[in-house]
Amino acid sequence: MRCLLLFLSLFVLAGNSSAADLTGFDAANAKFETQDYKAASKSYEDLIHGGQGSSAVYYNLGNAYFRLGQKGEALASYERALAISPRDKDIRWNLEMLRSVLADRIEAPSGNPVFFWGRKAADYFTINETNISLSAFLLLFLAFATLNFIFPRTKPWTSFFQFLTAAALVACTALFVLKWVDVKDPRVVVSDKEVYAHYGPSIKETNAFLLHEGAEGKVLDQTPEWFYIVLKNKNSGWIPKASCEIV
Amino acid sequence: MFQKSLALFFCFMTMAISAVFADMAIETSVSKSRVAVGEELLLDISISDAGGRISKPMISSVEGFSYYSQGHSQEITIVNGRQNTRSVFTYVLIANAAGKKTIGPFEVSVGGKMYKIAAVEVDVTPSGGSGSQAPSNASPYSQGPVVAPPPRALPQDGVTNQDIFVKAWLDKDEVYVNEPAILTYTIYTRLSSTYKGFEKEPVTTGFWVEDFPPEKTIRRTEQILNGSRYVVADVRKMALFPTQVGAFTVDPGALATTVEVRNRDDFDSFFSYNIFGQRSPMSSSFVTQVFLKTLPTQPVSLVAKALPEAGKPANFSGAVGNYGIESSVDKTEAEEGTPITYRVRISGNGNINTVDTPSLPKMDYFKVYDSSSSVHISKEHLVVEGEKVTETVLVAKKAGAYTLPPLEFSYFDTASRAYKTLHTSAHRLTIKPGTEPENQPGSSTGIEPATGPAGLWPVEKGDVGVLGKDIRFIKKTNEKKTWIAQRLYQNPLYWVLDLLLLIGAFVFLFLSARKVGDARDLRGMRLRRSHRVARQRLRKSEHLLKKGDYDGFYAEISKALYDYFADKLNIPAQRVDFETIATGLDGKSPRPELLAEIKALFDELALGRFASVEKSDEEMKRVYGIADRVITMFEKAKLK
Repeated sequence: MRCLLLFLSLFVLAGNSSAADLTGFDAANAKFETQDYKAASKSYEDLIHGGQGSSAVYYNLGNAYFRLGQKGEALASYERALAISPRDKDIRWNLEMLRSVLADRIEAPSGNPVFFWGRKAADYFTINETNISLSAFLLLFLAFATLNFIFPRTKPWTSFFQFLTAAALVACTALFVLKWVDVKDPRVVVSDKEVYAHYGPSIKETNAFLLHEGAEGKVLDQTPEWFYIVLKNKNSGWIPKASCEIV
Repeated sequence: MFQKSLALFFCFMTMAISAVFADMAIETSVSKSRVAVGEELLLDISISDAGGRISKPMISSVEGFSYYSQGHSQEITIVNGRQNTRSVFTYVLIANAAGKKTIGPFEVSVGGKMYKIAAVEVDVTPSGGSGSQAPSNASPYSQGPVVAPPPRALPQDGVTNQDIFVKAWLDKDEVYVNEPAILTYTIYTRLSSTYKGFEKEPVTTGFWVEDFPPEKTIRRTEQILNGSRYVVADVRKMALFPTQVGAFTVDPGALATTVEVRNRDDFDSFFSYNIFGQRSPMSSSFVTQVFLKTLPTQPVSLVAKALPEAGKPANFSGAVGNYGIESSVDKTEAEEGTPITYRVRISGNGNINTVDTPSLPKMDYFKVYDSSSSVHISKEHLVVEGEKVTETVLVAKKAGAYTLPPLEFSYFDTASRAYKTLHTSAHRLTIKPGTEPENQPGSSTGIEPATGPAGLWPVEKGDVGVLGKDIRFIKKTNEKKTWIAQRLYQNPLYWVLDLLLLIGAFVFLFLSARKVGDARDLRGMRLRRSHRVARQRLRKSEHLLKKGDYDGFYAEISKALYDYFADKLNIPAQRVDFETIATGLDGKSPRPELLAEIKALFDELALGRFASVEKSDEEMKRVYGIADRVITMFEKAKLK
């Protein structure tokens, strides 16, 4: 019983609700609408620092940064909004618009189509959603197994549902693994207009490639001042922490 | 001579000097660098990739040459999506005097900005000196030296405006927009004169101008004006196409001539020099004084009317004249992805340069690449005519049968003063599947696959075009979901709970499976339950014994034993007897005392249940004891 309560408390934590500061949110929106984007971005950031960082706040902050021409910050904000609400069409549209004006074209090499579509599907869920689904289907699977044991006569019609549950379990596990691969390493977005990636964590090291504002990469390693990042096209290099923002 | 020069044009060396202004390039070239007096050469001024509207090059005069414009051509080519334009202004120059001559520099206005056209040097030999030229190519007038002495300024009391003057006149006072009016310059003279070209070019703002080449032999007539006899000759003709509605006054400019002054009027000697300054071999060899004479002209007026609105077709794009249109494709069968060239040719009289070629409707089943067009103009018999050929490259996206619809072209016919509409023919195309098809099915607009011999033309629908793209607006409602710092997969407890769920599920699965297996193994089940059930019944019989229910006791203990042996041997209870039990025991280790006990028990039970003798408690306790021992011993015995 204690375990069950603990388990439920985990889900409550995952769906963490908070009373949003609608007044502050509305005030920030009003600044945006008067095209005072700088003040609006400041207000949205205050909301986030105050623990009110909802999907809408991050999205609106991304819009404010976009209008200010700060593409890197805008991209990071949209990515955060998408991490909370991965199925929000407005966020996806704005991300697409923003990426269309970025200077760097970084494309992943074409791989296995099964993985490609799997990753596409995983993009539409948060990692916690895949975890919750996994647990829910496990619970369902256990329920069917118990039902079969207690009432063996129900087996003919519960078997079909038990099979479906098992298939959903496998799918959830695959989605979780794909999502985990995607989120296990922190990601960074270049916020400077341009930055050189080096072969080592020092400006004295040879330049590896040039990145422009909005370029994204995964962090594989870090020092107090440098991130070692890998791009989608598998190029990797060290960039200063000051030149980028962690998503 | 003109035709000969043209025929030899391709053989002659070309000297080109070019100037490049950013992407724009201006190039000047002549058909030959060495020419004899009286011979022609072609001057081409080519302007490539101009960023704006190109005006006609400003050529006021060319020292040592007479000249006229042969026309203007324009080419647009598109290679790999890049458009290149080239405008070529061609002039025919006729050498008048020997020596090293410099043609230019001139200026041209492109997009309102003046650019310099580089000068070209040409060597003019006295006669027949063009190295590469055969003597037969020379004009008969170029044989022998030029006898005309160098011109001098005309004295104040010399030639009057009555002796020689020029008239500029239009063949029409009123035309429609884009309908040509012919401007003619006619020289009237009573003196021996030579036309030396234009000292001041006409100002033709508001007109598209096409110069006619001078006639090979300028026709001269004689006219009596105010009692004096004049020799009259048309020295220049040009077509003016008004580009807008309004009343225009054209300043025709001024002509330069040389006149020979003798002691007597000798109008017969006019054109004893030909119009370009060469002395006829038949002329007399008088010693004369030659003077320069500038002939100003009076302005001429022209009214450009708007085209009538009545009957104006919807697709009319301003073409005026008399035209024909035809279309063709280079192939009617092709594979997906292979290009098909669709060619539209408009030809006729009028300002063909400004005619817009009708374009194909939107075609979803084809990729359409930008058109290239070329214009060819001829100006024979004082008529500006020519053809404009536009080529469009189509690449089919999908296999099928398609029909390119006819194009509609409208123009205002100046002869009948009415609008006319022409159609090109439709073209059926068969597209076969290619090796690399591009499957991009489009919407139902534009060209559709032909539905049959009498296929219906689809209604042309307009797409709702996107005017611009931008980010979507901010969200006005705040959601409750906030940033989740804690991820479930990072919490070990989550995995422990999941693992417990999984283990629980598998335990129940295992138990269920075992339960089902047991249900299927009937013999094993009977074997396993036999002892338990027998003991239960023995306990029940003991209870009946205590209650003194003797019949019940024997019935229950009989049932216990018969069912026990039936379960043990997996046979029906009715088949249980001593022989069956003895046979069922393992023969290798028979236990005689067990068999004796079983036999004795069966006898006691038969006696107890069916004999009407008195049954004592002691007797029943003894039977109970035998049954207990038999079951205990049988449990230890091995069965076959």
